Amino acid sequence: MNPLLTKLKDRFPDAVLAVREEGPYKDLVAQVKPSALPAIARFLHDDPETAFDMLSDILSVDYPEDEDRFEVIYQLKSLPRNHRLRLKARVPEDNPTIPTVTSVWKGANFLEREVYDLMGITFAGHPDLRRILLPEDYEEGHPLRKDFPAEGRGWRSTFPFLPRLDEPASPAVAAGEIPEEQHRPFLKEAEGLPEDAQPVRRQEELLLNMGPQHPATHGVLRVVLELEGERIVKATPDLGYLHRGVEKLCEGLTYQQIIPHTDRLDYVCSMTNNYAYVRAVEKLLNITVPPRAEYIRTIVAEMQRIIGHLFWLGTQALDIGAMTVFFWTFREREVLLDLFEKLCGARLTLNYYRIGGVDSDFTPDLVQRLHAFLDTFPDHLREYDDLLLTNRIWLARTKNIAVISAEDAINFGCTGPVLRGSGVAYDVRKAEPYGAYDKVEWEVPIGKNGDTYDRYWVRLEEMRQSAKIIRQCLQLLPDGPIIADVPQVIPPPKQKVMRDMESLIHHFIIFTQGFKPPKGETYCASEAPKGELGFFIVSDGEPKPYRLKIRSPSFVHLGAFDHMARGYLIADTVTIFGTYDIVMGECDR
Amino acid sequence: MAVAQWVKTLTFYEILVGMKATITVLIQRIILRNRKAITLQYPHEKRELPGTYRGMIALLRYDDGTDKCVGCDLCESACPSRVITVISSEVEGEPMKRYAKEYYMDMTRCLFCGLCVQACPVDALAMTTEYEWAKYNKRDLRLNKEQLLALGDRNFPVREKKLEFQHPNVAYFNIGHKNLPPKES
Repeated sequence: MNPLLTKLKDRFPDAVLAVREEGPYKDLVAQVKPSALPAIARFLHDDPETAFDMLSDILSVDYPEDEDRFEVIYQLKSLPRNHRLRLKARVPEDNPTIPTVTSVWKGANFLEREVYDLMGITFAGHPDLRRILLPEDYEEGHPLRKDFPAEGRGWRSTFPFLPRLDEPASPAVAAGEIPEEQHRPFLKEAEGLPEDAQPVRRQEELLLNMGPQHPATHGVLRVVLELEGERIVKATPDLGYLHRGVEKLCEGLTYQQIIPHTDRLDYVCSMTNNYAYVRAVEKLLNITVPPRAEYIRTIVAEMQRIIGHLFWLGTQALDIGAMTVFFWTFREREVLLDLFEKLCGARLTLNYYRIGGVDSDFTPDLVQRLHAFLDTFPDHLREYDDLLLTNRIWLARTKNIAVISAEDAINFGCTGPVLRGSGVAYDVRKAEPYGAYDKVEWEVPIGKNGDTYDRYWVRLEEMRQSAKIIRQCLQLLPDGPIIADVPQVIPPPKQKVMRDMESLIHHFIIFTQGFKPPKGETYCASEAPKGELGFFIVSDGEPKPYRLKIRSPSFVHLGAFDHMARGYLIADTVTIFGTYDIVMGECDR
Repeated sequence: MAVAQWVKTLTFYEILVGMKATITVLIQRIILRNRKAITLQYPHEKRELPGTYRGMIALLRYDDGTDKCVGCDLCESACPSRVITVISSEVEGEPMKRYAKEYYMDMTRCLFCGLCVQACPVDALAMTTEYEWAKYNKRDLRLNKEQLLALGDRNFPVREKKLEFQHPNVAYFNIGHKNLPPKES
């Protein structure tokens, strides 16, 4: 038994119901009483031996047959000790209440709201328990419960807010939305004033609605800003405009069919989404990937990281006002997208990774083109440096803007360049190496001040490191198969299907029914360009996942938005959106 | 050091460095004309697409004009967004052979993931390089078998040879694979 679990059991003999190591990778799991959760969370956070300073994710699973129906799962991560723990608590159906942990981890705020929204579990003591992804007046229930139909409740045409084209328009709407007497109230107020009345300077906070239709919100994000003059007093992000219910959708799809859907999460970097998902399934199935496939996966993931960061750099600079950078980064991005197109036939929604390997092999022509790109890439990066690195407008807009300290960043659960900009060298590729990352030499760049400029510098440096990784991987690229040979899980090669009866049977079974992974749960984190992208899968032995939870970095980062935006100017909100590198498709899922 | 900093501030040095990069490209492009434009005038010029491009899906035929599809429904069950509807039927007079009597693809929902092409055991499906399929009426995007076959005829003029061949393991499929094992006698 792991000493950490023993220690936890000894410290809380009554509250900790069970501890165990799960699965082939020995994930640490502790089942606790919900009432004792705050004390246990505080202990795990503060004790120097456990030191779980980061809350990766909170999720809930519905087991309708069980006595205590809902299970709330906390994914904890310790950066100094580099270990993970899964805390579980069961709550009954008639009173689904559990104490909040927002006092321990501030990042729990958004995550608990999401669980409340989608599963209907109340968090006692939560400062702002509202729906987050669905509209606040949504009355159809909680979609991730198993008794909620996957196709949704109510048909679109019955939604009152959608105009129906087959009905005549109601007279109130036809005459215009605002009645005549309410037109131009400002003029009326001015007309009603006596002539000698002096205009009174009003002193009150202004509420400004930013988005959802704003070009700098990178999708559809609405932020309600409370302003004092031009300074932000409070910022409340309003999410969910792009909520498609991917997690519910995945419960009705086989494991293979989910891969194209992961493309649509973070549509700027779909390779890394594919990678994170197939790694989670491979961890669940406990299969190993052939070395050539591992190297190819690493290379394309790093190509995607360069693409993602180039896209980020262009849009961030464009938001701030530098147009040239946008065109130049898209020039390099185009080269890599062409390579993707050659490799897998698509440019954005790639669907390249397969469970147990990859879809197609590198051709010598492709390797040569990739080498040619890598040769010119450092020069192009130098061009961006010329444009931005010391540019005084860029410095004025990014230096000391949206500063977040390392402690706060960890407490909010920030990962990726946002965390590394604050000087914490946490990278999943180094902490829990996967692919070929432990076989090549590279460094984790970190910033100092935790401001927007440092995060910009970290991302630029990451692009250089990615180029370095690709170059080394191309040198080390071994020969061999690109997909593992596990006929029960992976469809056999096409040539064999029509020649070999057994292959034909496997082919038909995999494509009609899907494969059945063993019962169990797994959490697998990967380093996406935005941060730690994790997939949590609960399997009940059926070909479709019982529950699939996506830990998206953009969603967690937006939880820190209020903290980072307070005290800055309205114009800086655009910078802060950009510095997270948010993609709403991933944030709202 | 401080003097150098002052000179840089007063002369807008760092802006000039940035402008230098911009103006160099401008001169190369417009005056010297030794730098190629990267942008394409899209509707007039088109990119060359690789053969692996995942565009519109097409049904294929053998060289004698019979369709390859055997109506096995694998594509229907492999599709993640339920695009495909297959209604299969027996070939008249040959009760062991089947074909797709009707075949529909609702391209409004297609993800272009290529799983159906991978699932097809007889390689009857393929992805073309066609992509300009915007329509005024979305009902036009529900393609039937004739339209899909026409897509295939248009994009794949070289058809695979049909081999009447009976493998000991595989009963009565139309098989057109290369590198088949020789018939055992």
